[in-house]
Amino acid sequence: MKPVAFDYVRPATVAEAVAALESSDGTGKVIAGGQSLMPLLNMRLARPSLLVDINQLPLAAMDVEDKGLRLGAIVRQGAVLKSAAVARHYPLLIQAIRHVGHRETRSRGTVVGSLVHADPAAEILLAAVVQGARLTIVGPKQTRHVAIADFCLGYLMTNLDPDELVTAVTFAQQPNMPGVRVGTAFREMSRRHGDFALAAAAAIIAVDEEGRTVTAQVGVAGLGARPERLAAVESAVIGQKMDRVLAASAAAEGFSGIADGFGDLHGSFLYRKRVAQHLTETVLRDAWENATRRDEEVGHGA
Amino acid sequence: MVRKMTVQMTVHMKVNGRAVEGMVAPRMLLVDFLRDALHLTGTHVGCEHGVCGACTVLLEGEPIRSCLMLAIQADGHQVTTVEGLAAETPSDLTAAGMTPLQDAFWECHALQCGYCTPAMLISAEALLRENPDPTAEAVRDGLSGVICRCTGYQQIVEAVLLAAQRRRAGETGVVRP
Amino acid sequence: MSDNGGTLERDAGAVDRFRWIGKKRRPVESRRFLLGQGQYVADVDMHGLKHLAVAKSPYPHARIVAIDASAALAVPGVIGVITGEELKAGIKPLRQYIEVPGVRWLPLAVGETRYAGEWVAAVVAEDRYIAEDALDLLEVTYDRLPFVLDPERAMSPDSPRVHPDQPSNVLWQRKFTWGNVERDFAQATHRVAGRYRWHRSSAVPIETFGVVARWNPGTELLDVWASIQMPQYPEQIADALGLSHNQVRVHYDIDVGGSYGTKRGIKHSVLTAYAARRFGVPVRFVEDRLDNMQGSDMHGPDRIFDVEAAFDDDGRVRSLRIRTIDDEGAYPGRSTLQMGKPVGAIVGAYTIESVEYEAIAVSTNKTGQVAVRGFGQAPTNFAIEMIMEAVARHLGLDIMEIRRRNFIPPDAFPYRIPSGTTYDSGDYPAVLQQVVREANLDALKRWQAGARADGRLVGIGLATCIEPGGGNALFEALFNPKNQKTTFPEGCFVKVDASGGITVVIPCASAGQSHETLVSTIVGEELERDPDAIRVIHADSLSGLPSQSPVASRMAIVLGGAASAAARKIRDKMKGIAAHRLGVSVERIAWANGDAYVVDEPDRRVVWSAIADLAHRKDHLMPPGMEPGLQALHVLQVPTGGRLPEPDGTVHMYPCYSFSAHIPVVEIDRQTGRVEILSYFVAHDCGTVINPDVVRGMVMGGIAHGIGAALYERFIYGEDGQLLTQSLMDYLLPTAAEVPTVSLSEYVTPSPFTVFGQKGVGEGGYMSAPAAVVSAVNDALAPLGVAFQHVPITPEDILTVLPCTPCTSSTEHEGKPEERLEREGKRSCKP
Repeated sequence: MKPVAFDYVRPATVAEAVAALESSDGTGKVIAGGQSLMPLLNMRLARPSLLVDINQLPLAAMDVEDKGLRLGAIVRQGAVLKSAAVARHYPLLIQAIRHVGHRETRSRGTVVGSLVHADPAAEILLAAVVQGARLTIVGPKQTRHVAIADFCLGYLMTNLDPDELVTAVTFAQQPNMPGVRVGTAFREMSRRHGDFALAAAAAIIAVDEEGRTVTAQVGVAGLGARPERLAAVESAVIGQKMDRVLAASAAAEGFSGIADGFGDLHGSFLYRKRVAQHLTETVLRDAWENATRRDEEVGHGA
Repeated sequence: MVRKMTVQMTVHMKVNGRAVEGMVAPRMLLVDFLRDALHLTGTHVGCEHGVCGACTVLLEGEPIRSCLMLAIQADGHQVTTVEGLAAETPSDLTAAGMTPLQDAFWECHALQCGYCTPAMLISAEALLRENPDPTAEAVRDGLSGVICRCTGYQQIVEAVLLAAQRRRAGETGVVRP
Repeated sequence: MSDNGGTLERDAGAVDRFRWIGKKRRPVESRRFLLGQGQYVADVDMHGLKHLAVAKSPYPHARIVAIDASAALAVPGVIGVITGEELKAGIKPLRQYIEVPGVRWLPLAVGETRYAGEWVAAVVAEDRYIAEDALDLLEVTYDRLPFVLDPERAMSPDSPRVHPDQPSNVLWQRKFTWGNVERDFAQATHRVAGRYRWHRSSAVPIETFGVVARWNPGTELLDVWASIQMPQYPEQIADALGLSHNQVRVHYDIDVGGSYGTKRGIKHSVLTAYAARRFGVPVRFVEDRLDNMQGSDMHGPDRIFDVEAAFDDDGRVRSLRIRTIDDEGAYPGRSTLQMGKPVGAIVGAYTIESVEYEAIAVSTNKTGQVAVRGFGQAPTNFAIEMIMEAVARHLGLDIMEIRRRNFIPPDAFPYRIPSGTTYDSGDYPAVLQQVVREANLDALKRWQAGARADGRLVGIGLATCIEPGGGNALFEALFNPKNQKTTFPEGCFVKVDASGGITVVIPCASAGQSHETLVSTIVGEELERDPDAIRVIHADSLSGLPSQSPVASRMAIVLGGAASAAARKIRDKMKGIAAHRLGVSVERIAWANGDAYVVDEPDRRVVWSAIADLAHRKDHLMPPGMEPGLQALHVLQVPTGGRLPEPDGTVHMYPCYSFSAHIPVVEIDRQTGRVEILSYFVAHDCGTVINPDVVRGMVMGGIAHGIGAALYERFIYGEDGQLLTQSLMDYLLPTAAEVPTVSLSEYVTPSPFTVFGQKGVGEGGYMSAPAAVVSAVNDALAPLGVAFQHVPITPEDILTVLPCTPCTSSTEHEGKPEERLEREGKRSCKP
């Protein structure tokens, strides 16, 4: 299990990186943390002619801005976990990353790398889909901004061109309205600690002073070719106060229309669906409880 | 463009405190460079796809899989392997030349075949630097990225807790010469 | 339930007899491992070393039409390519332990590939990277053939044949009957039957198998370094290559990175040695993980058990009928014998008077099997324990009680079981009582009742296990009467140098079993010298003494016995030298701390170092005619060994029988099917403990391995014959987060057949844990009337039998369990 021979460049600027990709006629690959790419290289499932190492580029900034959380392409998952500002304002991302691999992979693996790899069971991808996120993509001719839902096309597939580089992801802010409190929750089922999820669910719920749900962002992963928002679940809880019955009926409604999807030797589609429905129910309740909790622990639950 | 070379590239890094230089093919894995070029064979290869954790080393003090990194990517960086653990805490070494953590592993019989042991030590070292007073559960969580097939982990957990206790107490558990 | 892992209780009197044995002592091997100074096979380097990699078949069964190596050979740095056709002309097929003349097992497929992943060609190159580049360019043309994956389907006459030269895919079949099974079944009041499935898993060490071979045409010696744990390894290499046995030198001073039975890379070694001779270079072949998982022939047992028990109202089991089908994969090698070892413990810990045992080995188009921890006893013990639970369920008896009623009583030892083996010693009711006490079972059951009332699925399991130790591998003869081997020795060489330093030479490599600690403790005990000052060296196969290799939990028993005997010879010689020097008869010499003195006259003494000096340097002061120096060897045959099986298959196998009882406590998440092991209690009796930490480590590691087999690990083949779980992302080894804290207590009934009363300890944890965990899962599901009969049990398996509850989760944890179950049952939705 050794990689094929390839050229290697370590560009000093984003423009150089893109130029290198362009010069490789589609056979170049970007390497950042490498935690998804390196196993593929070692198994020779990926056979690039050129590896463009972006670890030296000035893309390590982690900016908690008014318009969102901007993470450069080489921000490590482990670095995000240690950020108090992210924990305060983007708790869902922290909750998701806690489930990603192990400390030894998080110290190297990047948030953007996980999104670009587009594994349908990836926790960070689910968090991005639920939270809303935009990728900044630099190509030879233009820089474009693409919403995560448009970026992730399916199983390990994105709309990234081979000569483009994702330089950053910007996670959308949580709902921010007067008198409204926000709670998040992330749950998953995996065979072992640190494994990819068989099924995962995430929710961000905003609740008014009466305890009614004002906005809901809910999604699941593990069922299909990519994580999906569950619009039917979201609309079923808006305007309502959460309780077990509502969470159950909303989740049931959301899943009634999902007829087929992904399954493998660790869990059939029907197993994943049943677990995902349960997890959805759970994150609805947990997020709502986190939103309505009096203390300051929001974001540290689940 | 900074560099582009098809065959061999020069890599400089600091390994266990010593500056080293080598010529590597871009595709050479860091673990192969450590083992084959530097003859630091304490770091082991178990799966080459990032699951077993046997190749764990410290890069700039952070535990990483050296099978999931190219040697050339470590250019300009500091790497610590099991052979270098003792050099990082020279004042605390036992008569056998071990750190308190290594000594606790010995005391608790936290190893059998020894194959995962260097990686366990590296991950445990990183864990204790970050969390000097972990619970047993935190130790299990922190070591879950390295698979041991011999011990069932329990004596490893005990060793890490013992090392943490001794570190906090500022003692090594041994008589210094 | 502390993380300190319970207590150690043992017969204090037994330990106090000893100075070092049974006492805390840091294992000596650990030092080098902790400093990163272990010497594993991948660390062996030498001038001119080349690297081998193998091409693997993509098809489960195919004819090899052609292999075009021209492009591969053109890669700079490639030394050469070897195909099966070439190898066939140059070596003899590898050894089969059963009579299967139609099976020709070579390191590379010849003519046909018989499973997906089988090796078809090898490349030797300057490094592994280049070797893999060449593999990419190797063009193999295949013609696909029909294949068979299901062992029962493979038994039918119209099945595709794995080996056309065999009359059928059934490679071996025999029905043994011990005792009057017909009568016992006719007279018993009740019968229950069960079908138990032990799916394919293995030991999967973190170090893959590796070997380095170097041929020296000048000395005509083949040097081999390997991560090996295998009986008759050097001679099998020699036989395959047509060399004399004294031309193969296997270096056993290689640390083996875990084995648990599986490190038997004979095909790897023959291939690598052939390549070294063929190309005139030293060659290293270290499998990568895919080589290991797909094509190493190192999978483990894959069995279907049909078991029937005949028993009376009181729960006493009179007789068992066991039929087992083992899916050997394509090449049986030694693995079929794993249905033979269980013959030596075929009734478990119970007074069952008659047994019918039918063993069937079937070939399929899967990778071959190898020995795995317990050598087949783990699956068989699983089946025995499962049928005991079925008996208990049938009668409404407690699972503890059914054991108590059937245990061999402590006053019945030595106890001969129907299949002819004599158990040496034990006190099974006491060990069970000890674990019941340690677990505080009454309190656990109260807790369980409360938890169940809250709607939780919690279970308390039990399994017991007989662990044969000693490795009297008479199943070789039992399964193949042509193989009349009854000698299973270990040899140990002890010497004391002129300065008084002690060196012990042992004849095998170690894979984490702490053999250096074992023999230094024992030699220190016998000579009354500090074990930490004793150096232990691993011989090579030409300079070392006979060995059956460290299998079958035998080294404490056989190597330990040999070390003791050799040390005693040294001590006797030293006493003789001292007697001569002191001018007294040797009978008047006493021994303390390695010094010899005259009985009742402690001032008249010759100290240890002086005796060593006399022996090595002062011939003029030595007893006339005495051999110079201080050295002794002893080769010990396995205790109680030496008799061939009787024609009816009655056979006395291993000398020692350890025993353990396990009580795991589990909780099932009814929404995901996940099993969490909340706590785990074990009481364990392996006779006299030589090193408490080593024993504890063996038990703990075995349990973790068994939890893997019970809940996580499985080699799964797709319908297309491809191995689906070929990486460690899909073959799920338990991590520290999956394995619970285990509370272990020791109980000691010394063996009468060993020098210190010690027994074997390496395998029992693995033999018990799968049955124990399944027992606990089944107890958790008992309110639903569900009992699983297979391993591994997956979360999906569990959810499949649980009512679909999202629709009722508003009542989760509410109401009485019976009412709730009824309610949920009515709404259960079948996926």
